[in-house]
Formats: sequence, structure tokens, C-alpha cells
Amino acid sequence: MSQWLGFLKKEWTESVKSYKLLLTFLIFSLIGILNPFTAKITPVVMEKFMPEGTVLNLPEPTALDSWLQFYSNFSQMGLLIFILLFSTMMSKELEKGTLIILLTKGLRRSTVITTKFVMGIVYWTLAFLLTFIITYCYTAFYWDQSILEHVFLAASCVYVFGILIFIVTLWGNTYFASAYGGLLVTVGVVIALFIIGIFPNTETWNPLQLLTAPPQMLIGEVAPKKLLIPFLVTMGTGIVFLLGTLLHFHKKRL
Amino acid sequence: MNTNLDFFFEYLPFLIPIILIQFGLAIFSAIHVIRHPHYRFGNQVIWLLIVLFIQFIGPIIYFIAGRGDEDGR
Repeated sequence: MSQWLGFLKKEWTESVKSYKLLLTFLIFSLIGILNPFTAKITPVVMEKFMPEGTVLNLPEPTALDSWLQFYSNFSQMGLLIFILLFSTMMSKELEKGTLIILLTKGLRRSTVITTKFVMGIVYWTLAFLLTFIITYCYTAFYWDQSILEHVFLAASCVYVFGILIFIVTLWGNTYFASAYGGLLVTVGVVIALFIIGIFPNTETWNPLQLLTAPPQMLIGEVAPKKLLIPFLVTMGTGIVFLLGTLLHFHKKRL
Repeated sequence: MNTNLDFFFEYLPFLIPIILIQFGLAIFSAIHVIRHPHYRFGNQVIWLLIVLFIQFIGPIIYFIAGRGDEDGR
């Protein structure tokens, strides 16, 4: 256990020293501020830039617009930046060979994967909470949020999907031992999910629903019950990929 | 003029943190570029321009892709 904690501490120090903590903090608070800001300023900007005489009937922005911005910014740009930041977690050490010394000194191989996984989850939680809390505060300050349903539940769907994407990146990164390998696998998986989404009747289980359904959930068009199976599928796939990473790393030649 | 000022004050809660984060990040990365003159590609002038003039995206690109390791690679 002390070995595990020691390695976790090493991961933490490494992420702080490589400016990951700073970048996560700044990027995700900025995304959090930009969500309500974009929602509020868009109608004003549209009016200013339209040619004279154009009559625009833009409705006043509501809390829903702010949260729609959250789902398009955080789950696309936010997730992309997060994956970019943490896509070299394994490959950097494998390329440089820094793990070999530790492993020959008796560090368990599963420790490496589990600590990196935990560290990624910690950062993803931090990123998610920052963006969510900032957006929530601004939205509550400017608009009435009582028109929305399941604000917290809808946001947690994106969080769970992010965990799956992170685990897939970790697996690809360990398997191909290069930064681009992990990214390519992740992009491949997301594209595959979109292709699956084209076929009818897949929305009952497709994990991508966790990304596309929350905006509809806010206005009450999708019942939370419908997301139970996508949620379980996401969790199951995540655990399978995590076990796959552990098994693969056990046999990997360094 | 009065309407412009009102407009400005209405958005002040957004503008202050955004400006602080963007300028802080730009200045912090510029200092980092100057003090660690090792990059994976490009040179100091290019990175300074990227970091200072491409708001927000520039510093991220620098820290993810451009920052060299301490041993000069």
C-alpha cells in the first residue's frame, strides 16, 4: 500500500511539474466562464453585426442556452484538451524507459496502471467540477434555473462518458506505447460510436447517448431511466478496457 | 455613451476573470519560453509570438507540444 501511495505521489508531482495542474485549472475555469458569457452575448452581437434594417426576433437568452453551451464546449473542447493533456501518460515513460528501473526494483506492474488511472480520474473530476460549478454559479446569478430538470444528473452523464474516453486513451497509450497511438484509438472509438449511432434502435444502449441526450434531458424530453442502460454499458466497457490494460501491461516487454 | 457604459458594467463579472486568465497565462508562458530555451521544434521568437498573440490557444499548444524537456531535448 505504501508503494502504491508513493507511486501516486510521484504521479502527482510529475503532473504538477509538467504544468498539468495549472493548465487544467486555467483552461477549465475559462470554459466555465465562457459558457454563460457566450449564451448572454450572442443575441447582442448578432444585433450589432446584422445589416441595418434587418428585423431579428431573437429571444432573450435563458438558463437553457447557458447549459447548452456547457454541453457543446465542455464535452467537445474540454474533453479534447483533457485527452491531449493526458494522452502521453504511459507512452512517455515507456519511450524513455524510466519505468524499467522501478519495475526491476520490485514495483508491481498493476501499481503503475492503477495509479495512473486514479490520477487521471482525479484530474477529470477536478476539471469537471471547476467547469460545472463556475457555469452553475453564473447561470444561477443571471437566470432562473427552475425551468430546467435534472441539472446535476444531466451533467454527470458527460462526466461518466469522459471517464470511459480516458480509460480507452490509457489502453491505447499502453498498447501502442506512443502518444499518437492512444489518440488514434480514442478517435477511432468515438467515430465507431457515431457510426453505431446512425443505425436505428441503437440509442437504447449506445454510450454516446450520455453525450447527446443531456440537453434533451434538461427540458424533460428524455427520462433519466432511458440512460440507465447506456450508463451501464459505459461502465462495463470502461472496466473491460481497464482490465485489458492491466493484463496487457503484465505481459508487455519493456 | 451612457448605454455603452451600462453595457460594459453588465458584462464586468465575465470580463474580469476572462481577461485575468488570458493575460496571466500569456505572461506566465512568455516567461517560461524565455527561461527555458529548449523546444521540441521552432525557436524562441516563434514561440514568443505564438504565446503572446494567439490568445489562450497559443500557451496551450506551447505547453502540450512545444515545451522541451529540462535536459535540452
